[in-house]
Amino acid sequence: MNNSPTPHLPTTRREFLRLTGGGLGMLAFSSFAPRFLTQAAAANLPAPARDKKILVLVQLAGGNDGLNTVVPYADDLYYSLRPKLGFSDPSVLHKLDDHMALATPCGAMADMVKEGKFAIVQNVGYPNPNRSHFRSSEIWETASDADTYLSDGWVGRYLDNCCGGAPTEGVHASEPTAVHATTAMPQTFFAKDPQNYFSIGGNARANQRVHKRKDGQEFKPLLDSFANAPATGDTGNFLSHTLMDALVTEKRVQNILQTYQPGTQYPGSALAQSLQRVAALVAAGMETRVYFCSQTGYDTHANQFNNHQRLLGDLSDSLAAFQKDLEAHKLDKQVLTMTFSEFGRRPYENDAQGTDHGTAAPLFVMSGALKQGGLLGDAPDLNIPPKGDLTYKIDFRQVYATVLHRWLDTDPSAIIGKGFEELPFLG
Amino acid sequence: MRGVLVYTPERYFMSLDPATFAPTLAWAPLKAEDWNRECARHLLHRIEFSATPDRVEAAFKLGLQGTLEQAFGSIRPFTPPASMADYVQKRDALVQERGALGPRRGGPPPAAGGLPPQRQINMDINQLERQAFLEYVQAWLSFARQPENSAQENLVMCLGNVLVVAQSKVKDPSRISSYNDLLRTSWQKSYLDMCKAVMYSPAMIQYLDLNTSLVGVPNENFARELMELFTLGEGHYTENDVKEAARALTGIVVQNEQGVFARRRWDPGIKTIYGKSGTWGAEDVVDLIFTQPAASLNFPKRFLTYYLSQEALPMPYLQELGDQWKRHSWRVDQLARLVFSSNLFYRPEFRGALIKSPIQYYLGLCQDLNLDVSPFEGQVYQTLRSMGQEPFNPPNVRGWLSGKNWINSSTLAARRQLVQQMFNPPNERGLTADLLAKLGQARAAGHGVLAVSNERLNSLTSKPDDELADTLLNYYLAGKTHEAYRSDIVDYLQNDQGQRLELVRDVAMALFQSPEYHVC
Repeated sequence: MNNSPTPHLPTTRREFLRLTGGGLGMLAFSSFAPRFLTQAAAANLPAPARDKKILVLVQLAGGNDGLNTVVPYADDLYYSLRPKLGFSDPSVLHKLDDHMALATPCGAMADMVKEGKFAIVQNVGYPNPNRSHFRSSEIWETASDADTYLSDGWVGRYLDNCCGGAPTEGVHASEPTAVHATTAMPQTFFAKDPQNYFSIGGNARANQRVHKRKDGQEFKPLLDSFANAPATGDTGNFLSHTLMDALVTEKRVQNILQTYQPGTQYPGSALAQSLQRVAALVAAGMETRVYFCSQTGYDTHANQFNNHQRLLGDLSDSLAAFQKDLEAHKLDKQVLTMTFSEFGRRPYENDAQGTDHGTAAPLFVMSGALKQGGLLGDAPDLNIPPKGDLTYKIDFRQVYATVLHRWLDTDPSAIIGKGFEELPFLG
Repeated sequence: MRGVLVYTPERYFMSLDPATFAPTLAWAPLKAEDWNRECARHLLHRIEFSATPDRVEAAFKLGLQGTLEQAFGSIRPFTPPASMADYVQKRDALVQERGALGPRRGGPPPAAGGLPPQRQINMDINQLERQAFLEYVQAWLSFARQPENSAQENLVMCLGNVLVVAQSKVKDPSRISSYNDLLRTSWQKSYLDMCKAVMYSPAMIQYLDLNTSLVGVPNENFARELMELFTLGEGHYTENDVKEAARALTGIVVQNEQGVFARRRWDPGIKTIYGKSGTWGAEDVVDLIFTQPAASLNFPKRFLTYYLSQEALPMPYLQELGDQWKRHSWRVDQLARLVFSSNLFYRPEFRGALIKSPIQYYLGLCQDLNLDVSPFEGQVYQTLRSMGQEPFNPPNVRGWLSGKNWINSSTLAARRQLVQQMFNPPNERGLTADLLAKLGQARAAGHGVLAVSNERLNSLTSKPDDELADTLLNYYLAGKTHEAYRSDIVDYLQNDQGQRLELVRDVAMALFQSPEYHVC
């Protein structure tokens, strides 16, 4: 029995045409050809340009402690807020200016800052902060106000607005518009229209088994045939198309991931492996515009220091490897990576050598195409009352607006509303 | 992504023309002579989770009204698992223990490297909550999986997708359990009374912040969702109606796990709602809402989205259904009987055109394959989550976006993975002691069949190819033309090299992963 994946379904337009022996003319009558074919045939489009901009989101799940990530080492108040948990010796930090420094394990990030491809947006949050993981994640992922509830995510709305309708995707339109490296679909992707999403996370894909016939030929997996069977009605057509797309994408993705040659050695962590997969798909020229990865463990209520440092080291090294890999493939100017976390943590450490759910925190933006790297915005004001919390200076939707407008070339007001002043990290 | 040529808009509702198919005729009961096995199959597929041939036959013989009486004639009680009472007891003890410790500042210092005791207790409570919730979900799925309970539980899910609460905010699983039971024990009542009842349910009070709403500082969350989502729909009330209703809805708090009215928190002033002024209270708001014509239309509309079609019916049909429902005093079970008896429900264009929700897909598979709901509560939850539906945890107060929103590459992959699990028994040597114990308990109780065995497949392997294809198609997908699937299956089974059992397994698996199996 041969378990290696066999491309029974075409993964390219050319292969499809070869296998079916048909031409574009036949496609016009086909109700069950993959979407990339019907669309290309309909629009008679040339192959798409390969210079589309790509967004990679990295979620720091649990709420990242900003003060021990980007450390206000010159502020005496920091040391009184963090008597046990703080860095007592600033010389181990990576200084960004005469006030702020990156935590010890973030050396790779600090190097990227020097090279102008890594920006730190300080003190990001939103008004009337909510301290529930669930709710605050929802606020970040749907880009809502603290007191409004939206059903779709900001990326979902972007895709609904910008990628529906017109067959701009050309020959690879069956490729997913967004890919997540998590088991469950992130709320960020929730959309009104059916979107073509794909997961590269969680467990291995459900492979179809391949058996050999008497004549030595392999059986064509039955599900491929079912996906190709004529469907009835709108719902039936939709399901067949989606399944067909999924099978085509799955095989294509499997092939890409198996044969990928990364341009650098990645760390062994789950985050690094996700990012390597993203790099593979980007390098293969997938049409996917948005990728979503997640790193968990930031909910550091107790014994924070070592755990948090380990997480930051993983984040820093993984991001740096990803960037280096993209550079090796000359894709670093085409990809923008952005981190986010549902909230920062309290400035006052708690009695368990940890920190509780807080408000504002820095977020990171990384790309070879940054206009301005390094620190952006003002350091948090630590002059706060007992049990107090940080006050955000930059609304997270200013970051989204910048990315939507200056990176994804779309009008942010349609996605997240008006009035969010953009930031200068992109030109 | 929408394609240009790919999805043609639904056409069939254009054929629903009030001029040629009068709304009164549409909602009139199906004639006895029109009831056949295909109708029975359609009905079972929609009101339950599957339609196995034996149940189709039984429903056909029983007739339409008899089948509806069996499904909606009486309430079937669901007893939460013993672990729920156990959780409540343990949690209460922990809460008491935490109270005895006094405030955390100045309390006893934590052991070296440990947590302060109060914090440790909070974490223990979270852990208990999570575990009790997962076990509750597992027990509920097992209950719903029993065919005699399926119609009721499907209806409870439909109600829960309109009158939404979510465990992610409510947290306490005993509140979720009570709320779910409130829906279960009141579906034979008027929807108006249900709306009044949910206002006093601790889960709803907490989910939509009624407990923070008091005179002077009303919280509009519940008032708004009550009008927008539960009863009227957007455009049928003003901002001012919401604000005034929020004042009338002040004063509800949770005491001893009951929603109660605390008069001192209530705003006794004059409120004007839909132009009527009075010193309205919470119940008055619901009564006033049901003086509005839209109240007779909104819930039926949501009901039809769940049971009939994702596409809205033309207004004359909805209006007629709303009028009839109102004459039945807005009783939920009467709405179900009206719809499921109607000529319209059995129109061919509505058959096999709804996409099963992940829970419906999962329970349908369990029933079709005669498998038990897995006793591994964490795994079951994760499976449903990866398919896009966490039980009792809709993404927000609008409930799940159903239909095509259930399906994309990632959720399809999760559905396929589930089928694969169901045809491959778990490797018991790889199970932790904890999971093995659970499996042992489930088996001892006669509920431990988790995967289709080779023995069961063997009963099929001796059949000739075409007969085997017919058997499977008729059993699981029958009622449609499946010539294409049939020839694919026959073709697949040919020419094997003594691996027939494997091939038969492939055929069965592909069938449950096929586009046709995702619809009902």
